[in-house]
Amino acid sequence: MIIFIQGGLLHAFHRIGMGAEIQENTMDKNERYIFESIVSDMSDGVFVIGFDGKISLCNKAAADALNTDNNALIGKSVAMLMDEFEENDEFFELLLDAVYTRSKVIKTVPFRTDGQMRYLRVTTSFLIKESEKIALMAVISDNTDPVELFIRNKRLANQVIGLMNSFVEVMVTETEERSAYNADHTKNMVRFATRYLEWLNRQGRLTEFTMENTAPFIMSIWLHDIGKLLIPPEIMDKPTRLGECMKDVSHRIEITKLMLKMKMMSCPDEKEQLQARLEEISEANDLIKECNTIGFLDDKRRERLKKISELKCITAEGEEIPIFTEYELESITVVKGTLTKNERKVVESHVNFTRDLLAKMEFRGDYRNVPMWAAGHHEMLDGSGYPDGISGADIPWETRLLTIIDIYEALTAKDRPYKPPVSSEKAFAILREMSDNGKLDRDILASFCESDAWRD
Amino acid sequence: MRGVTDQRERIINMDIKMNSASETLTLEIKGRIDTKSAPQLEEIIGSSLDGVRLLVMDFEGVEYVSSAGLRVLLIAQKAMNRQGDMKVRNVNPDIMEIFEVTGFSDILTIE
Repeated sequence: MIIFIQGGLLHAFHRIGMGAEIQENTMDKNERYIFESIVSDMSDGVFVIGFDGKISLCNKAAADALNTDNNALIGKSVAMLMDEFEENDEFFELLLDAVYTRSKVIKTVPFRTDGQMRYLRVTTSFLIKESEKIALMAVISDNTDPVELFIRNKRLANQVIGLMNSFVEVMVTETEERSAYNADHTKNMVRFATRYLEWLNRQGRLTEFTMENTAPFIMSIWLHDIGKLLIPPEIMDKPTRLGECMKDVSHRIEITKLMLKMKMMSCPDEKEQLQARLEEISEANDLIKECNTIGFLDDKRRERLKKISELKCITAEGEEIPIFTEYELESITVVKGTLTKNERKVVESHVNFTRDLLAKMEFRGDYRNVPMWAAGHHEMLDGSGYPDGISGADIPWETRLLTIIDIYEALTAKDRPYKPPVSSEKAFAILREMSDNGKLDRDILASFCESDAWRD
Repeated sequence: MRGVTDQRERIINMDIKMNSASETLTLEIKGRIDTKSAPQLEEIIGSSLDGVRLLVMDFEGVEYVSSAGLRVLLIAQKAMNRQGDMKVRNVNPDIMEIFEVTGFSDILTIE
């Protein structure tokens, strides 16, 4: 098809992209008829503003989209339309953008007439031919139905996400509150993280995230310790080295003391020897009580414990038994903390359970990385962490941040059973040492510290 | 590296100097008249037109006018139609092009 048209219409037609081969010439009556028929029958609206600022061409679809009569548009200027359609500056802005940028601008904008809101997809072009400005052209299609569908879908998606968020929040909070210790661990972490992300955003430094993207990250914090549900509470919250076994040990010692005292009465000959044994067992009792709650066990105490482990207790039946069981001896002589090697392994396995539990749930789209971020919170940059011992670039930004916040919260928590809280300064000193040793991300740590998001 | 978000707070990048002599009010405007700054210009015009017979807008320092800016010009022109004249001076070529293609050159008196 060859169409001869002139001036603004040539370019208008060319830009509409009808696939016509265009030669510039004077348009005769028939050709103009053909051109006008095509434009008028198009389902997209088209209008052209000549450089005199007046609408020189407009089809019915354009007039319909603007909810007016096409005869009412011909000859009008943008200024007149602005006066007529008062609340639609976003639409007019598009026309200006094409002039300012001298290029095609495509955007969907709301358009309000007679109390109705429509969404118009508008393509505007500023037409220049041989450095002569010709016209401004707009192609309009009514996108109201798809946009409304999109908005409705978005609203439904938000409802689902909102429900999921609140469900996770309630379940995790309630579960943690069952434990007498550190019931607010996750809640505090979420608070620190939310504040930190807000701070980054205020600084214009939210380079790692877009704001829409923070919800999945917060979700991964809520869920990071979900695997602890499967760890026996007596191990998870073991407050002292001996834990529940302390009662057994005390009981054993008390019986022994009673037995010794009785023997002293029935065998006055052995009184001196029995008295020495009674004192020995009393001293052992004091040492055990002391060491049971201690955070760090020095070599001297450890040696003394080993020595008293050779002592024998006496049962009510008069039987001689060791003062400690094997497990009790291992527990009381742990160097740091309250957990034996096996118990530590069990506690550490909570990240495996987190991963296994979350793997059974469906996380998609923006939420697809939640299980990975959550399950990786004990990995260290130098590969010394667990469960997978991954390192460096394999640990994403989100996990690095989660790890730092997790450790900070754990150190400063006021209700941990097995160690007293440390001050914020001390906590950051410990974190910095860890980053100096290549375990934590130095930049994220510095930024988190600077943000003050961790303050109570 | 993921997407970088812009600073949320946009800064008003417009400056207005007012000169009033007898019944003439001159506004020397500098910068951008956009969605953010247009309400400020509208407020200044709205509160300063008492007894003004000639409103002169000096556009020498204006780099950009958005549709919100055009709307303020429309409002100002309508107000001055009732009480005198309005003139827009020293319009740069880019903005002149906008005035022409939108038909504002027919409505405004541009010097």
